[in-house]
Amino acid sequence: MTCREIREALDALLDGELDAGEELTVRDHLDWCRGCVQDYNDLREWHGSLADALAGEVVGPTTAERRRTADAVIAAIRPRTVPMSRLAALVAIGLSVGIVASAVSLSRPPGDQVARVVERIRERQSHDAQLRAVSAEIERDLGEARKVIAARGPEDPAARSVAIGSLNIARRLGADPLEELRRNGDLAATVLNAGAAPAGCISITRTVDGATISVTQGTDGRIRVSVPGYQVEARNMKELLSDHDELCRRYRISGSDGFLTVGDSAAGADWKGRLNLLLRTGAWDEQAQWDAYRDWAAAKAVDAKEFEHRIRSYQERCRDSAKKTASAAPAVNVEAVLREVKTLTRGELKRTQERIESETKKLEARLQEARELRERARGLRLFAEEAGRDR
Amino acid sequence: MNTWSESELVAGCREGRREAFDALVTVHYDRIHRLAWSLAGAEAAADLAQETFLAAVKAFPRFRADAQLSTWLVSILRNQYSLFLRGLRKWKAAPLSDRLPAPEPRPIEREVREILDRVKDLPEELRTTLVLFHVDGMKYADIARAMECPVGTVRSRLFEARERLKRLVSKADRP
Repeated sequence: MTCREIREALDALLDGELDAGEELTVRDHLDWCRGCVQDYNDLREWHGSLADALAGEVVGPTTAERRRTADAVIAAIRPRTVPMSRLAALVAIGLSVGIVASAVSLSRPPGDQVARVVERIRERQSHDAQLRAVSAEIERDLGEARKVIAARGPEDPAARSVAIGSLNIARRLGADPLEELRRNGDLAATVLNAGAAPAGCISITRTVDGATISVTQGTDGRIRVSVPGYQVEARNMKELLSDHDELCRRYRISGSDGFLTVGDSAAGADWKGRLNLLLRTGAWDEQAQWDAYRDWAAAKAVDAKEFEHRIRSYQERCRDSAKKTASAAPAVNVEAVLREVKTLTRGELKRTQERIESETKKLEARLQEARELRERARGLRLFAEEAGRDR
Repeated sequence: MNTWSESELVAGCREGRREAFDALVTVHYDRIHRLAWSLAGAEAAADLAQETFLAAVKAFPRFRADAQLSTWLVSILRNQYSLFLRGLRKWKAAPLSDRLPAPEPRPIEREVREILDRVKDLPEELRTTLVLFHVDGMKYADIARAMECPVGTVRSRLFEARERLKRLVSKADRP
């Protein structure tokens, strides 16, 4: 072996990874070669430094980190699959039961299954009727609110808030009334055009637990978060908080569109800037609406007492009007549904039940959102009416 | 809970049992976290470890019975680390004018700091081999299985990594 080959083998010798024959050859070489002995000693020292440096710096994980991973892993587990052998046994049992059952009742479903499907259909129709009723109420309230502020210019603070709020609510409801509003020369359309004014970029940088975090909301409303190692982006604050909740919790990022907080530090745009951002992000939530009203009321009130009175009165009116919402009575012809369901075979009934359950689930989610939006729309109408009286 | 044997753990995970995956994390998390820390640094260690276990959940149907769980997890960690590096490089290359300085390091010996700094300059396959050997104490054969390469390659990579690192550190020492 040459000294160069020995030099390469010394590494493996120190790692305890040479086979017996090779180790013997290397040790024989070390007995007479002073240069390689020197290399061996240097290398041993270097290995020690490397091991100390690489292994010594590591700090173990916290219990919370370990727990968080375990929770994430459990949440990611797919539904348990049935092993093939067990599946074959189940199919065999199922087939034999099916043969006996079909001899008794052909392929007609049992009465309790029919009843369940009828109940699901009633439930779906009820949701559907309620959703239509709530949507109609929202449209009515938004229409009234826009009518009251129609005579005002896009620079009027109340008119601007109501116009942007009503557009965002209508869009979240699934409608985009902008074309129609433009045709009618509605103020909301004017505000939207005027909203092209730059909203300004808000940025905040802070050190949290030794890591430097930077959160920026651009003029397009998009929020970018840079943390050591990576960055994320979201369309608005709501999306950021829901899609990256762990990151936000870890670095204490919160706020709303146009108002960012990281830890104890905060940065925000003025109200007009925030409205412009809300127009772009389409996020009109309870907080935005309260801020809009508060901003307007603060400018109108002559003193703190009047401001407080206005706020309290607005709160009470919002609360009272939320109670006065129309209830929708679903018109379901149970007999007709029952007649139809009874003609279905087992397979058809099962598929129908699955389809209806999936539709009902989606309707439930939309209904829940519509109910929240109804409160916003009602609040906007009350805001507009108060601003109309106050001119 | 650490009372699962390897075969019980594998069987439980194959069946998708929650308690088995919980035990998998309990048994292997600290080791994967330690390696993730050495490879990617303190800030990314927890995320990299978590991504490794999440990828393991997805990949479990492909786990071969003759493989060792710990080695298999290390191979997944390596894949995730490669993805992490690619993401990091893309991010570094992006024109981010407001990139911020890293937090101040803990005061540790100069040579140790120098080594840790220079390890980051090694190519991924050299750095991973070095970390698996020195941090985890894995044998050449296990490293070879985790990195899907011959044992001879592990040996030459370790040699190459140490040589390069020594050159980098002594270069930095020169005034």
